Amino acid sequence: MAVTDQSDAIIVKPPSFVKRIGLDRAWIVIFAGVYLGLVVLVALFAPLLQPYDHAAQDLFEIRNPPVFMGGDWNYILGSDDLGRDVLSRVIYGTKISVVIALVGTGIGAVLGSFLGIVAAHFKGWVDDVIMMFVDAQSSLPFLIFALAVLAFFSGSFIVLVIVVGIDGWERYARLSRGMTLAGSSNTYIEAVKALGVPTWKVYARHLLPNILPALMIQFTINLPGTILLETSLSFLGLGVQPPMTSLGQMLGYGRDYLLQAPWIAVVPGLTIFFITLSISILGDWLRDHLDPSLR
Amino acid sequence: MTALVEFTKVQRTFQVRNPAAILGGKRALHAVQDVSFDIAPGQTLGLVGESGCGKSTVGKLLLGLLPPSAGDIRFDGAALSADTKDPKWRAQRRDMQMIFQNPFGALNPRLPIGRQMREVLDTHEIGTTEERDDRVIDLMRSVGLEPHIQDRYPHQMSGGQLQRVVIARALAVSPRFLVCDEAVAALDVSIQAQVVNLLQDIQEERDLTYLFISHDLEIVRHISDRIVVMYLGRVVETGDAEAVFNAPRHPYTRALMAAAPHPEPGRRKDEPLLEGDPPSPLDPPSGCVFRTRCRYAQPACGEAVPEPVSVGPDHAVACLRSHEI
Repeated sequence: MAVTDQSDAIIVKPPSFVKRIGLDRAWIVIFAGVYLGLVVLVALFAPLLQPYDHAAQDLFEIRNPPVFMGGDWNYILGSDDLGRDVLSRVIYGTKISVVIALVGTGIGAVLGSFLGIVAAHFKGWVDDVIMMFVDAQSSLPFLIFALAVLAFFSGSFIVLVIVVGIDGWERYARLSRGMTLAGSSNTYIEAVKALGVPTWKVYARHLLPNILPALMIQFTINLPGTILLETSLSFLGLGVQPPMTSLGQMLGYGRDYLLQAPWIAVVPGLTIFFITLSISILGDWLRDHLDPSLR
Repeated sequence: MTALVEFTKVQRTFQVRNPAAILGGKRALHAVQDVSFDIAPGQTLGLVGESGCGKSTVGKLLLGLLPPSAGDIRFDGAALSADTKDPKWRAQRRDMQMIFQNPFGALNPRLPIGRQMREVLDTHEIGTTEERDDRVIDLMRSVGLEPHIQDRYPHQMSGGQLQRVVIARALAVSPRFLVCDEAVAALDVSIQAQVVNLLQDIQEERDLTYLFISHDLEIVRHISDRIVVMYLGRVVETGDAEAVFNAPRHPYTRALMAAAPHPEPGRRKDEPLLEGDPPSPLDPPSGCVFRTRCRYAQPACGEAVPEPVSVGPDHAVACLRSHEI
């Protein structure tokens, strides 16, 4: 058995970006986890945490600087051009962005994985048709497609979530199809089939648990992209519509005041930056810990 | 005595993509051709041959995991179903089971072994919920495993233990017939003997019938009552195990036995070893499939597939020249 022990040690995987720049240290992973935990808490309890209503205007208090730039404690993170509290808006915007990202990525993950498994199970023409859609989707510049759809249904929050969700489904479909095809040829899948276990149980108990880690890693890879897509759409004015707000929409709004009042854009910008970075760090850590070959 | 398993003139052809053609072009691969044998209840039939000769395909056909292209397969007198949607197919699972070659691959790495045995009982609704827990413990004891390790995952166990789990899982449905496809090939030699002995013990206890597929002639000789030797999808020699091993009559069987490592040096060295690889089953030779590598081949061998000829009380050879050589 000594031989196999050695061969385990020889497996070399190319280090990910996160690892190459040394972001896989334990304290950084913990920090990323704590930050994401805070973001989720803020999203859950947004109405309780907001000092002001996110849409309340006070035209006597416009462009107040934040505390660290010499402002007062009434507006900890400053106020924007209409006298709205940036802190309250970031809290509310985080909630909306997190909801869109999670629900959106969830739609893509469930739809894509399901279609991928269906394609791998039925093979033949079903596989061909599904993979044709996958190819069509991946050859489409998604942002243009999203802009067209959103311009048509302007302002609908549901449509926005669905459009954001559709982005990336083809990656889950490819992944789950490939993993299902590879998994079905495993002896243990053949074995339980030969034992007479019904097909749906073979999928639910044996195949899915073995491809789920890969899908979860794909989820963490997609999530920052989804947040950035929502940000881009809102920045372009086709995402979340006022008075509702999201981090991306705040960023787009703050662009006009970058010289006079940089905090209006910088605060939501940094929030987005740290959310996506933390998800990447955690996703990388998750990949290392869910991959049995690295255990 | 009526046979438990009857395998009559079975053929199985796979359509494979022609490696020479870039576009389309499928060709027939004859994995199993005209194979016939019977297995009597309580007996062990050893199936030997080189890799790719169709041994495993025969095993799958016998279990109804693959439908035959032609021929008749009967189990206990009734035609075998190979349609997984057929309720009869599900019912057959309780009569026949398979032991796989690689125990590391035959178990789900993410489920404790106890639950994998339990799953079979649940699937076939054997006993009540409480009885099933006891049943798992009984099964583990019957294959020599301590019941307290039922919460372990496959990666926490050795190959020999895992093969015992695979055997216990197969026994969960109380089958009458087991196909052991290279059941010990992946194990260490010291463990092989233990597992073979275990298989023999449970055969006696439970009155099981085995099809034992292997390329390890010593183990086949040890465990089998009768032998079928296959080459390139066809049966070349069948018979009583001792008769075949003591006096192999087909040139292929002789070469196979000469090639096997033997503890007594100098024995059976008169037969030269085979050279080259078997021809492709996509394009088998006409007549006797072995003639391209046979040192006794003559022009007549290419004309027709030789019919099996009886050369003893329970011993048949498919060779034109069996009476001379």
